[in-house]
Amino acid sequence: MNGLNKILSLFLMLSIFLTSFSQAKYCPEKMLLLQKYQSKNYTNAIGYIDTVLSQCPDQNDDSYFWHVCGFINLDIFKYLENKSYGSKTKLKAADCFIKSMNLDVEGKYSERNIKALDYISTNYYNDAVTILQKFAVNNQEDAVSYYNNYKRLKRIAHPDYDFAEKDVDFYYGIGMLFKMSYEKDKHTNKDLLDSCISYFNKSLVIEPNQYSANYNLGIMFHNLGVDIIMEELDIDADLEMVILMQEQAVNYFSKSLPYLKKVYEMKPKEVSIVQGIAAVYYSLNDMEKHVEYMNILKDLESANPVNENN
Amino acid sequence: MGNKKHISFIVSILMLVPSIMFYSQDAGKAARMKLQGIYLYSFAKKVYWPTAHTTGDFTIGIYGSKDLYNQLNTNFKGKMTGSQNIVFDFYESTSDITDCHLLFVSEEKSNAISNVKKVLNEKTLLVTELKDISNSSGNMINFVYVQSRLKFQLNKSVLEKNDFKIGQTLTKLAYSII
Repeated sequence: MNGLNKILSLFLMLSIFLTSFSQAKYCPEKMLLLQKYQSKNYTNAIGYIDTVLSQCPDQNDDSYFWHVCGFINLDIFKYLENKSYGSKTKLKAADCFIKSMNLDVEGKYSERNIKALDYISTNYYNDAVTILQKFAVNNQEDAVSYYNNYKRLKRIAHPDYDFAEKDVDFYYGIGMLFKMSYEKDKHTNKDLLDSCISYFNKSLVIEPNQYSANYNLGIMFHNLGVDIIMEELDIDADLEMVILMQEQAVNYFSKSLPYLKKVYEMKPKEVSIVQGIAAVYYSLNDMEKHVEYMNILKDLESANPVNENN
Repeated sequence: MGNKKHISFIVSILMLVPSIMFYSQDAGKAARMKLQGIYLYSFAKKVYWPTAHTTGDFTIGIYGSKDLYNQLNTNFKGKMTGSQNIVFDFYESTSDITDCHLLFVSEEKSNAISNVKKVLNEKTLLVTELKDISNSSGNMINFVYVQSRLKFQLNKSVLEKNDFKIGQTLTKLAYSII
């Protein structure tokens, strides 16, 4: 990082010199801003940004000015805010670099702008992954926001970047976090369930054969059906309500099957999957199919007794 | 410029997080029992017995399904229909069947229906779990599964012959009326 700072310092000194002579309009406030930044007086430097813009409105269209603004914000994020989560300064820095890129028709600052955007996007990515890593079940929304920022900035820096592989993993990971939150308190966190299903499905849209997302959705839909009857249906309910809730339960059982059948194709000897399919058919009152899978289960268990406790 | 963390590694850790266990078919069975219990309880409330049988306890007898009996005894204990306390009885054989207001004969005892009918008295509402009761005489209410949904058939003529009156809700919600 020291090397980078030295290069940046040299670059800025040269720029101050060149700016003084090449700009059509001399802007003393901008000189002050650069000096403050050079002396690492970031708080003062950032205070000069608005002053420069009000005193020298032409700087609004100057790619170099925005490039420097980006570094002022970025250094504040790094050295004053200690790379804190949810920093707005980091986002401001990114916005400055993007403005600089848009104005930099000759591509003079292009390489550094892209490097800086890469740094910020990676930082967002790491923040999102850290939430997954810590199983921080109350921070799912932040993880999604960080990941979206990562993608937005990465896409600006590298328009052809392929996110598919990371999307599959992230959507599955965040779906798991929503699932964990929901399971902590099913009644209070019921609204998280839709997000969980939605992210598992997003993952499957990109990679339809992803085992874990299919498996989890299969389990969840079956259990949701059972929960409707066992947890939500009041024994004093009117028969109209019973019929309605039964309808919802059957709907969930039916949704469960395709996911479980898919993972069964992938792992036909996995006892828990066969147990699951047998349970779903029982819940759907398809006793022929239930017996068929119970027989498969028996064969599996007799062929591999170790699996019995799985 | 910052080290990128490896999301695949994180995801592989997440995969190790114990998933919610699949509810076994026992849970499915409990759900089925609960539904049957709610229906039986509704029959007790929405079928009107002749006045002579509306005093004392209201007995629901279960022949064949101990699980259903346990479910009813746990969840519906202390419930009432009109001014009658609902109590539950379990019968292991037809000879055990005693004086009850409503008798449910589970699917596994379907073959014994004709013997059951011999021991029933006129106040007992018979609820069965047969494939179809269109061609059966003497059955009053029957549970059927239609496209995975638990529904019921009403044999109105037999019910009326035995002086039972059926509430409008039951008539409206019946899958079929014979």
